[in-house]
Parts: sequence; structure tokens; C-alpha cells
Amino acid sequence: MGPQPEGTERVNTGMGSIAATLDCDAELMVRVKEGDGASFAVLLEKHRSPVIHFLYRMVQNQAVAEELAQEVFLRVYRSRSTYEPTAKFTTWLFRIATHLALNSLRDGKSERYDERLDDESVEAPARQICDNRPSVEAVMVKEAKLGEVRRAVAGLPAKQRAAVLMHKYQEMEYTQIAEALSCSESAVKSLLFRAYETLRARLAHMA
Amino acid sequence: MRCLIETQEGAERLLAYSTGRTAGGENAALEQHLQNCAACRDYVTRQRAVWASLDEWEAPRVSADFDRQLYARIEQEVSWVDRLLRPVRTLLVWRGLPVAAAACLVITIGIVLELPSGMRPQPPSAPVEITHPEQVVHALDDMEMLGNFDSSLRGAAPRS
Repeated sequence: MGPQPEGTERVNTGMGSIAATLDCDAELMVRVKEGDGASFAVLLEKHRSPVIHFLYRMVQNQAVAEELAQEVFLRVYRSRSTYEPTAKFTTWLFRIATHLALNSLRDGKSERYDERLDDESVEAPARQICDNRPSVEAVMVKEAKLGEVRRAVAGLPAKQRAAVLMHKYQEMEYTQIAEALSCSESAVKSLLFRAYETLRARLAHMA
Repeated sequence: MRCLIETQEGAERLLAYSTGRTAGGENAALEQHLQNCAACRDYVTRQRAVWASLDEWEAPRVSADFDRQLYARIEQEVSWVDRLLRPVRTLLVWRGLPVAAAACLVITIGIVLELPSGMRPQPPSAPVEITHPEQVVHALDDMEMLGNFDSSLRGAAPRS
């Protein structure tokens, strides 16, 4: 576990130092602590997209996701002087990100996402226009499916959503997700099973 | 074999298998079970469909000026005070606690010394006796009588 940035708490786990010894990100962070700005740039380059994508899928609003991601990296930078590499860097990073996302959802900062679920043109990646582009029908079907997926994920309770996103897209282990969510490993398993059960029910017709 | 989805451990294994996170040896045993268990087969099929649906959900591109904005905010954080303190930052981190404790002690002493007299603890005062007017009149009468007695004694004394 890294330092204790604002809004986060320290969690002691047994996995700590061994995992951190092998964690090159933690080594980079130690260099940042020693004043090496280039190492911070490397960490930013490596984790920028995963963090923003995670936050985007959590709050489903690109502007809010980037604003939260700025805060995540700012907190990482602020915490450099007190950083101790006692756990995997990504676990600490996603702990901060999850904390901020849950706060944002609780405060309703990203309530606008409901309006945008049907407006793919605002949030969706820019489409490539080329000769072999899909037909209008295919695009519409894909967007409809995507809309359903987004709504299904948005309908999950915030902690279940965070657990699924870290499990699916970040490929994090149960122990890491547990640390990020400040709960036990068995609680994470329970969150994931309930979340996937809901998703299977909601997305059954897409099988 | 008992249906895997009936136990939590079995469901965990099925979830791991559905998401491609099981080892080769375990896969063989699970696949053998799936051939004979329709319920588990259905579970795996539906979980894989969820997984595939989530795979299609791409996140948008990151704004081009994300880094610039971040570094601008970092630059704001690094104020002139921070620049001045940078060489002694480590020292402050480790030495900060005793310095803070000493400062707190000095402030506490200062506050105590500067307290208004009314707020300071007072020593217990001597008890005050209440004198009634009659007692005063009696005392004056007694003094007058003693004065008369003294002057009569002087008058009666033989002159040397």
C-alpha cells in the first residue's frame, strides 16, 4: 500500500512488501519521491488510459472521468514524499480512482450520464470512415447493443460496478480489488457474483 | 459430479473458466463436467455472452491536452514556498513531529500566561466576618468608656 493520500485510508495486508518488490511501478514511484519528474511521466503514460477508461465506465461521462483522473494523478504526485512501496502500485492507484468515482457518484456529479446514454455521438470513439465501413443498419444495431450494455452496467450498485470493471478490464485479482474497495476478498467475490448474475439476466437476450 | 453452480466454490471455478482465467489442467476437468451438466453449460454460455458484450464497450479517446492540464495543476501546487522548502523536505518529514510538539508546548504555555486574571485559578481567600451596626455602636461605646477611664486615672495619679 502506498501512502495515504487525501480521502484514502491505509490498509495493511500480508501481500504488501513481496508484491511491491517486484512492482516496477512502485520503483518508479520511489524515484518520483526522490525528485525524478521523468519517472512520474512514465507512470502517467502507462496508467493514464486505464485509469480514465475505468473512471469513464464508472461515471459514464468523459468530461467527469477526465476531471477525476486529473485528481487521481494529482493525489499520486502530492503523496510522493510520503510514498512507501508496501503494495502493488496499480492497487493503490485504483484505490484512489475508485474512492473518487464512488464519491462522485454519491454526490451526483455525473448524473448527466443518463441523458448521454442514448447520445453516442457525444461519447463514442470517433468512427473511422473508409471504404469498407459497416452499413448504417449494422452501426445502429451495434450502438443499440452498446447502449444496453452501458445501461446494464450503470444499473449496478456502485461497488458492484467498480468490482466488475476492475475484474473485467483491469484483470485485477480478488485481493487487489478487495484492497481497492476496502473490503474483504470474500466480499469481493460476493459483489462479483451478484453483479454478473444481474448482468447475465439483463443481457441474456444478447447471447 | 455434483452441479458446480450449487456451491460457491464451484461457481467461482465456472466464472474463472468462463472468463479464461483457469489453468489447463483444471479446464479439462471442467469441460468434462460441462458435457454432462446442462445447467453449468448454460451458466458458462450466458457468462461468456456477458463477457463478450463488455468487450465491445470501448472507452473514448483521452483528450489531447489531458497531460498539459495535469502538469499545469501540478505546477500550481508547487508554489514558491514549496520550492524554497524542497531541499529540506525530507528533513521536515522526519523532524516535523518533534518540532510540532515543541511548538504546541510553547503555544500552550503562552496561552496560560496570557490568560486574564479572572480566568486564572485563584488561591482560596480568608473568610470575611459580617459586622452588624449594633456591634459597631457597642464597640464605640466601649472605646469611649475606656478613654474616660484612662483620663480619670491620669487625673487621679499623684504629680511627681
